[in-house]
Amino acid sequence: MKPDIATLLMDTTPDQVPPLDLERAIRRGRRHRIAKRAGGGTAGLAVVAAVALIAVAPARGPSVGVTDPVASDGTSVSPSDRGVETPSSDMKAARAAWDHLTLQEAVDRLIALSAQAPDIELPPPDGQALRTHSLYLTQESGVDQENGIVDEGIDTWSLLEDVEMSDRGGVGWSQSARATTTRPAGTVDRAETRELAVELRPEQLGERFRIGEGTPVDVDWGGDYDEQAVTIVEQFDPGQWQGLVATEEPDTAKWRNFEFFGHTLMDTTARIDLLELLTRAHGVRYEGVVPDLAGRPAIAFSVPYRPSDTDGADAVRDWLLLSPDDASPVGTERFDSRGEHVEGGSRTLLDAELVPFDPSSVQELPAWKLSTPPEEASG
Amino acid sequence: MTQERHEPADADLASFCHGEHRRLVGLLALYVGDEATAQELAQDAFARLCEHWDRVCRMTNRRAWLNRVALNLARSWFRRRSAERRAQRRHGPDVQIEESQPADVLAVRGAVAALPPRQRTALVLRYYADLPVADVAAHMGCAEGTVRALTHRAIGALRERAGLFDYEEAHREA
Repeated sequence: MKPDIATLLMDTTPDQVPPLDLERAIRRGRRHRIAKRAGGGTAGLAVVAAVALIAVAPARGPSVGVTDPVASDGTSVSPSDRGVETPSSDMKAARAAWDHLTLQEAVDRLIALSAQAPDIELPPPDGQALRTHSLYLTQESGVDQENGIVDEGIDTWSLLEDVEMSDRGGVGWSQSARATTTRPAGTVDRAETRELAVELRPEQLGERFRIGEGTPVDVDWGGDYDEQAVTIVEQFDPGQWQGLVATEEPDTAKWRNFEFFGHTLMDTTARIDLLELLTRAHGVRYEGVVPDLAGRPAIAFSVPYRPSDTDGADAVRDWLLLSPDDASPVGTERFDSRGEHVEGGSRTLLDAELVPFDPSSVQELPAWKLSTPPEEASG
Repeated sequence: MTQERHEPADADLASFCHGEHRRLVGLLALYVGDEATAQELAQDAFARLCEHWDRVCRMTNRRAWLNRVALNLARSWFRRRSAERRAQRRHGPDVQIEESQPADVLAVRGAVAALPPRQRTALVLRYYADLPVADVAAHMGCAEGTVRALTHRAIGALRERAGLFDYEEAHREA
């Protein structure tokens, strides 16, 4: 007589397993806790090396924005005018501001805003052209009749696996990993979007918004993250593609540069610094702290309207303001390089004056839950 | 410097970990199809447990928390493995790891591990972790009907794949 399914499965339980090394588990748990308290403090040389790879590589596709941001009143608020010498010089404050956001919250919003990715052409060694979309949103397919948001998520790793095998019109969907969810506009259901965790609003869904290169996966549950990953694909040289996967893992966060079609890259371990990553890889730029309409501080990032605009004289950047409390978007604006407001932002800020950003003031904001600055986090 | 809390090991923590270890390894072995990997993942999961013990110890269902973390880790493992396998295909043959397990155990694990992730999750939680459908649904963030459908499909696939169990009974259950 055959067993029932439960018995069949239970019978696979090992008779004996090596004893659990509880002390080791405790040590690892402690290290992880310390690492999280330290925020970006353990950012290591490996991250610098990894990011430097991006910085020194020939720019292809989405590139780093270098244009000055501008205020709605036309005055320049370039980093130098705001008392910030360079984007890198305010990185410490930016990092401090960043640390109190959960990684996932920050990632999904920025990724959502950072992508106007062209379809990614992946030329494998055999010369067969393939095309892939890791997570794809368009106005046509992204909004349902109730104006809700439909998103389709792909586990990027699975996708990459499938790209090689797909014959479905060159689109490498991974059926098993594919998920489609619909939710009301402007809302995000943490339980429902556990694997996708992308929040977009209808006004953000236009022809230009297509998430193609970054997909946060495996986000947290219970208010504390367990693991997140974001994959960013950059083309460094013609025919060569590299993927950066930043993964938060039990002991360490890892930068995992993995192989694309025969190009074996580095694999190193370091602390995630997604701010630097996104800044450099997607043109997302930390702008500083600005007041929202109610006068509350908001963290401002900007992203080029179009990647190609980052090198143009009329570059347009979207500013995204996040609440320091929960990283929820509190406003968006769009400016061109002359300081003219460009239609398209939600204008929730209206005419709120953009104040100069003073890094030293960040820690004086009582509402902020700043984590330990890097230098003080010795572990 | 904040004083660390788990030195020496909290008796409650130790009791819970040791009590759950074998079961968790079994669950993960089903999920990933490999006992050695399951042991590593279980160790990772217990590290997470230790990290969050202050919070978890107050939960009414610690096992559910542990299951969830463990399966999250397992899913991540699958992602990493896919990249590794691609690399192996290019640079050499796969390394075959011999397991000293009975053939039927390996067959069942292999069949379960070959299921699509959500089917696998539903099946393992429902029939190995013995969770009610409602709890599985809560774990997976989906409706109970979805869980039933997933387990139904999983059982059907196992039947086709292995024919190892009493399908009629399982079918009624699902």
